[in-house]
Amino acid sequence: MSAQRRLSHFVKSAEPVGLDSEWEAVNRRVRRRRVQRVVTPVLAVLLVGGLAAGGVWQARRPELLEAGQLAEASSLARTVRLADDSRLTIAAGGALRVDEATDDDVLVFVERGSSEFSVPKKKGRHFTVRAGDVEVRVVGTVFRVSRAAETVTVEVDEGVVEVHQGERVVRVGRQEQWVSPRPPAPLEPSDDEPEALPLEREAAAHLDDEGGLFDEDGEQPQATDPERRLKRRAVKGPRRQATEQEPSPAAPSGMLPDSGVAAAPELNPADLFRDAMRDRNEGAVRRAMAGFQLVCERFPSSAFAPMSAFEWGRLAMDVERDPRLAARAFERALELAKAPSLVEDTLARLAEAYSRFDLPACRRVSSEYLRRFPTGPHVTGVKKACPE
Amino acid sequence: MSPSLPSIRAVDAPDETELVRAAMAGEKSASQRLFMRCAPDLTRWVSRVVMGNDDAQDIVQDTFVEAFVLLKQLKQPESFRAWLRSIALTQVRRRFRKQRLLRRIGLGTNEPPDFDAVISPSAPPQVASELRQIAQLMRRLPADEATALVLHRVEGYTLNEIAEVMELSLATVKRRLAAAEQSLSAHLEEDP
Repeated sequence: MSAQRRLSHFVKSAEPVGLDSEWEAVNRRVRRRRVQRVVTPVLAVLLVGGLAAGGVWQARRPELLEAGQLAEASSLARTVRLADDSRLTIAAGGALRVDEATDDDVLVFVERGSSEFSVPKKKGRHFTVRAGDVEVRVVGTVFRVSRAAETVTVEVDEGVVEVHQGERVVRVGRQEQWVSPRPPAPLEPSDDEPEALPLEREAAAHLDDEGGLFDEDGEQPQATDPERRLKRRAVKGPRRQATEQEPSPAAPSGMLPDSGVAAAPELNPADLFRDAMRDRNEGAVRRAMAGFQLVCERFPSSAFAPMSAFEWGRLAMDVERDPRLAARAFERALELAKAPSLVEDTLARLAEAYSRFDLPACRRVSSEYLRRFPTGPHVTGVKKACPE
Repeated sequence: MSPSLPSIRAVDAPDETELVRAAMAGEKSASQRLFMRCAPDLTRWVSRVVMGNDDAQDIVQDTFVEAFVLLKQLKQPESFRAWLRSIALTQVRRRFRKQRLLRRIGLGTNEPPDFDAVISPSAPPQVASELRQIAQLMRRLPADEATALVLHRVEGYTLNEIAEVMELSLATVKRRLAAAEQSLSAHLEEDP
């Protein structure tokens, strides 16, 4: 025994106590450790994998765009998403603004450039894209809206969209394209003494001089093939200054129906309609509704009156969510509308409005629609609006 | 010198190496018999190494749990006891580190060990004094230095034996031990 070991002889060593119970404790702990050795790595892999996947998912998930936000793409395309899980890809140089973005209502303005929309189908959700005075209503599809100055192009990859411009409604289907006509050239004040014209003539003078949209009698033309592109000529004719206008005796539309009081010379249905359209495009919905209501109620004989009533109803229904007001506006539009296409659209929207609060009225309107337009584009929607 | 007694082996008592192999094969009874055979000796050894600075029975239990979980990794079943002590030393060092850290952050106990419970009453005064100093110094040294010091000074291990049981290189053991001896010398001068 070496000298170095001698110290250990003087250190007390403990004797084990309760070896049997110690063995039970060891055995129990060994079993637990063996289970942990299998489970822990699996849990670690799952945890790390989950975190990584979450991180990747988060990294890949496009940025959420909320109401009131503007999204621009500079030199590279940019993809954003909305609350309803729609995906919007803005091409380089493009910009769009989100006015509304909830699960049920989406309103997007294309400010410039091209944006692609991938919109999942969702029953009851209203998804609307506006570019200038063009409105694209979406059910569930992939499509692109491009805006260059005032020219708007809508291209559909999948599904169907409705394009509204003025009173025209065009359905653009899969692999189809729609391009807005050239907007009217800005009307310059004439150096000549403005000629007093009946308001109907004035309306015609502002529109297609070959009877494109409106003919000389203020009648709206027959609907053209909705699958074709609209063609509208630049408006010709002098712009009448409101202060210089002399109301013509042959202009009943200048008279309020009941009061017999002449419309204030400064009110001009064409200007009112144009202003209301601008307000609508800029998102000033209430002001737009007031303008459209003014046109159809103060100037019922005006060529702009039927479309104004329709627009008034559409805003009431789609934006203000007021089906009763919408029904009132659409009823007015029905009274004023002459063109079959507008009558068809109005009946369909009226049925939809009544479906929210007056089923008997809804059924009445639906029957009227189905009788008059048995193969119309709104047949399915009208039938669904108020089932028997 | 008395003649060496023949070793008597019970016929039914298996060799320890056979027990280890049986335990490695999954025989629960072999594991239990290994425990019963090795636990007492290991408890005594550990209690000397820690010199009252920790609970030897807890360390032994931890050691056997580790050993049985890793038993299939043992390459030489005949070296089971040496392997067991290596595992025990790892547990000891782990505990020393933990206690030292707790004392540093003010959560550990600063109570010195009960020297009467550690040092035999038959120890000569100088031996008792040296053992007391080592026991006190162990609480202040890093875990590896404290372990190397006890193995060398108290248990009488050679440097190679220390390197083998601590699973360190000889050079590392020399460095640890040199540092520990220097601290002990300084401690003895402060408190002779």
